Amino acid sequence: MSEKILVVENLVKKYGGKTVLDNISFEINKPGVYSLLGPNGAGKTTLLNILAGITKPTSGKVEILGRDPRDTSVKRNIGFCPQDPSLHNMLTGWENVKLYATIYDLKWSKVIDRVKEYVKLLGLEKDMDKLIAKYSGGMLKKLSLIITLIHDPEILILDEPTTGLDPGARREVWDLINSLREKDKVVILATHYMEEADKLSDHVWIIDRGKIIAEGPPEELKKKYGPPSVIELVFPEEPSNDVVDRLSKAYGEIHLDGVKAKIYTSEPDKIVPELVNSIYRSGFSLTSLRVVKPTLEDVFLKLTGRRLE
Amino acid sequence: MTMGGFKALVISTFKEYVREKALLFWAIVWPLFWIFMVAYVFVPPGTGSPITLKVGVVNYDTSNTTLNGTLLVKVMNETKYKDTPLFNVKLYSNESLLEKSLCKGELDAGIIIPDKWGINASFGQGKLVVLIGARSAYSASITQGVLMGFLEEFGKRIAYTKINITMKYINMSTNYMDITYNETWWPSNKSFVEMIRDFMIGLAEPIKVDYREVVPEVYANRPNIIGFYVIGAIGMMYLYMGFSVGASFIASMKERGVLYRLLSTPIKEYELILGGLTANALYQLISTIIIIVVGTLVTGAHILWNPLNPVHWIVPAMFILLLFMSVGMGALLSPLAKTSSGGSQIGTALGLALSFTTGIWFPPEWLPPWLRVFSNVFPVTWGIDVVRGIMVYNIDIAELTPKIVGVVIATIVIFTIAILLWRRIMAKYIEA
Repeated sequence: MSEKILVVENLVKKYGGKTVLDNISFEINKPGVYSLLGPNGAGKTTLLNILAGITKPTSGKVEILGRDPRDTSVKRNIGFCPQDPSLHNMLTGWENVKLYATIYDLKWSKVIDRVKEYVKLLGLEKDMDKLIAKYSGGMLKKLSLIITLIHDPEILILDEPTTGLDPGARREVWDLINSLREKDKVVILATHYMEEADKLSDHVWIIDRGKIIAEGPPEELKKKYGPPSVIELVFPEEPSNDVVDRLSKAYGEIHLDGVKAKIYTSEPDKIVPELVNSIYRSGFSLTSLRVVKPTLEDVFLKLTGRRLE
Repeated sequence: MTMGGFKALVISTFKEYVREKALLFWAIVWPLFWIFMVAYVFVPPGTGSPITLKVGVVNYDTSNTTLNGTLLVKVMNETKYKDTPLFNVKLYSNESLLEKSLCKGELDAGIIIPDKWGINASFGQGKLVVLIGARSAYSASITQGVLMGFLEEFGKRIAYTKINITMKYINMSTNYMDITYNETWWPSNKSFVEMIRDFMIGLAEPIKVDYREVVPEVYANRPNIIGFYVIGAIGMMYLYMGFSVGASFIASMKERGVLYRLLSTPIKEYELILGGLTANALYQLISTIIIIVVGTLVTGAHILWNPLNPVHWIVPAMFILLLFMSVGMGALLSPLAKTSSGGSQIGTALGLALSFTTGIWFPPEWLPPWLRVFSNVFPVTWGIDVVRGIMVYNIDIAELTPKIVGVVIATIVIFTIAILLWRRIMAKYIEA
């Protein structure tokens, strides 16, 4: 694979007067799993559509393997899995796969083994002869992924590949993505699941309102932007403003979300006993309390003041 | 994308069309429904054959002459037009019974033959009373026309018989006549007797009319009528399906979600458009063949098709051009349609309306003059006229050439505009 797999420079995309992607730049130089993490509406899908050669940027440069992604020749190196499982409803699973195999000029005899392997990995063996119209959302996502992989592309662009999947199916897709990493593929995935980005990614771009606000390997990001520890509190009912104000004054900023609250600290051992006492003294009680390591969501919260999901 | 990829896209889209039951209804069931309506309701078997009038006769004639009421009834019973009896005669004993039957609508007409009619007709003038059963102005005029024609011919035959008898006596009398009489108008090559005979023939039949039947091919017989409507049903199907597909084509791909995925593959935009439309054309061509076969074999439509005749190959070419033209016209509607379902509904409604108002389904002659102008400039009508000209009426190709050229030019222009429009809509959807 060439040195620079993907180059994005000063990328801007505007729809009407609205700037969806604002001067984005990054590079990918080696295989691995790269995640775009951000809330809905951050610009992830637009960025992936540009990388897949579907949408034109308003300005800036995008090169995949040294070529414009809209160039037909480079599209053979890209596998794109759109956010909505885009398949032909009145065809069976096998017919859909065969259609795309033919579009990529692939001989069926040469791809059948690979396809069967993915079908088995994602547990679709019994469903491939059914019409797509009868598939569940999860089955559609899985078949959509198989079709993305049919031509064995070097670069995979996956737009929220696990959204709407049950935990078991999500795990199967993660296994598939990990197996792709082992095959030295470049996987670029957009997600708003911090756990997904955390577990799968070698490198994460946190994107918010069309801008990359932080980037790096997950651990590095957590170290750089996240607190050393997080105390997670769950109250039996939403705490009053008085209680929250008092705790904030004593222990720093509290991020409250309904009955849940988070406190960032570097000294959890010291704080926890005082905190519990303080809460009970105020006439309040706790349902649970735990000290956890920071996540990418904490990084996002720290950087934007908003929660990711 | 290679030809293989294009073919795969066409076949896959075609399979999707085949599995979509609603399309099957619009492509085959609906046109066949109309053809069956024409063949068995509007133009039922028997249409186009000569009619047989039910005529009641009261024969009071007791003449013992050769020519009498009984002979008239016998001739009526034996008279045929194109192998079909002209009259179904029922004898009545009196006028009041005859009139009762006429009032009940059991008869088309009644004839009262008075006593001594045979003697009067043989030696002077025989009088008849004819009653026309006026069930409607239309049937009354037909009945009256048929009876007048028959009685006029019967009267002529009587006159000629009388002339022949008279001439026999004149020939016998020539020895006693001055036949030197001469006038300037007297034809020099005719004898006196010949002159008298010609004169009497002129009295009996002052104008000799030679009736020749020139039936317009268009409405000549039931098979042709059904043939006309079979092609009309195909034209109707092309219009509403073409408009519907053209108007909803890109929106449908977007809504099904396949647009983004397909555009991320090496497929080019125009290949995507042509692949989808070729599948649609293929589907409608197969429907066309089914409609023609059923129309011909089941409903008895007169459809000409000889693969060895090069002119007949214009028909499939014309069908293909019409398919792409109607889909192209549908594209012009797509800016009005926000969704594929909206496009489909607008296309179907407008296609059906136009098929009834542009000479596709109803003959243009039935349309009011202002609509006829519209049908004259509507290129789909030109194409359907060409197909009808070749497949139903066997019209000379030279006569159809201007319309063929018109269809080719119109298809190129309309389809080019359509492609540009679809690409624009596609770009709009992608950027939205």
